[in-house]
Amino acid sequence: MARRVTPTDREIHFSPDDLIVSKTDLKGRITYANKVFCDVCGYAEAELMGQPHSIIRHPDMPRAVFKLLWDTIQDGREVFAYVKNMARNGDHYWVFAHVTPSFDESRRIVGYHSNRRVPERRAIEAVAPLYAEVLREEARHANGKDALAAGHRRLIDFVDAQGMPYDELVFSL
Amino acid sequence: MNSSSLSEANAGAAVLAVALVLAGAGQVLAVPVVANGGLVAAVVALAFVASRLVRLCRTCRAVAAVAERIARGDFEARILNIRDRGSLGRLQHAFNDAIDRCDAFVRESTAAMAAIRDDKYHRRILPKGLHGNVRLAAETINEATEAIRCRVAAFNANTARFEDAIGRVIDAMSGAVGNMESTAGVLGQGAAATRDRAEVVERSSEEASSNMETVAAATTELAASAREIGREVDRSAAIARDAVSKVEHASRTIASLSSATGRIDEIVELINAIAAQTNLLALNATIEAARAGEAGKGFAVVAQEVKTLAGQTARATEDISKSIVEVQTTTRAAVDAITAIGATMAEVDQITAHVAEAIGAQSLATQEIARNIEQAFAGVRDITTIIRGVSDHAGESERHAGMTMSASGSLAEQSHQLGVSVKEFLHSLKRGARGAEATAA
Repeated sequence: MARRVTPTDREIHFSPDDLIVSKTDLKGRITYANKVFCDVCGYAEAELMGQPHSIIRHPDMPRAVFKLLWDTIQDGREVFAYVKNMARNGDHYWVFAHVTPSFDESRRIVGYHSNRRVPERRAIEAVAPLYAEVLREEARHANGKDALAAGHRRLIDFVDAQGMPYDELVFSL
Repeated sequence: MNSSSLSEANAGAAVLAVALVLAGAGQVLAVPVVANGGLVAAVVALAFVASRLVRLCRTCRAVAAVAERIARGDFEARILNIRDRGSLGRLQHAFNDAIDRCDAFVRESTAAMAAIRDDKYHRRILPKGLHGNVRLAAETINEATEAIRCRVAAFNANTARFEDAIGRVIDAMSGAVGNMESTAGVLGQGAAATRDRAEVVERSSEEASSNMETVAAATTELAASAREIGREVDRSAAIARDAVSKVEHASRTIASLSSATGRIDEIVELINAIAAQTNLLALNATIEAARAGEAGKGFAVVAQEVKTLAGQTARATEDISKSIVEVQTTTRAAVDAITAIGATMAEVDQITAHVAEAIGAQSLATQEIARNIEQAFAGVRDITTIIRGVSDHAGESERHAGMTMSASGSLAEQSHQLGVSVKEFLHSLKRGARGAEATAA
């Protein structure tokens, strides 16, 4: 999907009763998207299938967050993250994403699964400035690798400064 | 596609029915156009219905396949590429939604339980998106997690307190053991020093004891010689007294001798007077003889002889007188000497009495000394016995101090061991069942 989407700065919401569900293969290509996903982001199921999950990535999201996410799930652990996603029309929606590896019977990772729920507002208010700061940090580096490393360091420093592990911190926000 | 295969099939069937009615009506009314058109429409409608039914069957198989995978616990299964709308589309989306929520519950509860397994109690099942009994189950699991968290916290607090208390006890015990060890060390040194000194005292008192024995023997000897001296003094006193009486007797004898010489003097004067008379008579005889001449010549010789005898007698008496005077002088000297001897003897007697008295006192003193020495000796013997006891006790104390020292060492080791055991115990408690499993495996 080569289409360029311009952010609109307009926020859309979905029901707290709903789950946005998607599955990807080991490379992050979408293998399943539920109806809520399709309805919220405005893409048809057929448009999403086989696409990288970054299709709904919002430019406000620092890359370091996704690095943290991928590092964790590739290690076989679950991860929670507040993520700002972008709909087909450029609108955005915040989710509280719970990403878990899917295992086969011999406990091998066969894919990844993401359940996204409506986040607490105060958590978004806490996390948005941090993401902006990490993004600025990343923007100061021309080299993509350096940018990612710097952003990741900034994120880790923030977590360390809170005095609790990331997976506890993410619930305390 | 805007509708589901099912509603399309329904619509097709309706079209088919209408076409069949038209075909029948054409036949009855003998209007071939209508009859043929109706038949053609019926065939087309039938073909459409058949194709929709085939798709419906495919959808049913797909749904059944997913349902079977879900039944086997494969929550990766979903109905994909849902093109149907309407009730069939709703059915498939609802089916996926049901799986999604079950999947969510399985993932959440698995994560929550895995967190508990890994001793993390902050992880709760997110209730958002779960409904009804699933939500109830999630809430129950969350309550269970909270209960476990509280219990584990209480358990940890208790074990920490216990560990702390045991730690303090062990520290105190270690301190006490250290004190005990140093006290035992000091005690041992003290006992050793006491034993050394007691041995020195024992040797000294034994020496003193043997010295005392020597002194006692010497004192006994002294007492014996004092008694002997007393007896000797008594004897010399008796001798002195005897001498005094003998001097008195000699004095008396000499006095009678003196009076005897006085009487001899008188006799000598009488003899002298007789000798002078005789001499005078001889002179007269000589004169008479001379007158008698020749006849008187023999007589003259006798007279001469008498005269010589008288002269000799006078000289003899003179010698006697001289001897008497000598005897008297000597007797006087003897009396003086005897008197002096008597005085000296009396003095000797007196001195002897004093000496005897002193000797008696000395004997008493010696006996007193002997008794004191005996008492001192008994005292020293007692000291020796006591010191031997002290030495034994010091040895005993030293041994006990040594035993205490080694006991305190073993106590220290055991208190350390206790600490290690308690730590291990608490550690194994904290590890809990997983630790036990790991150990068993």
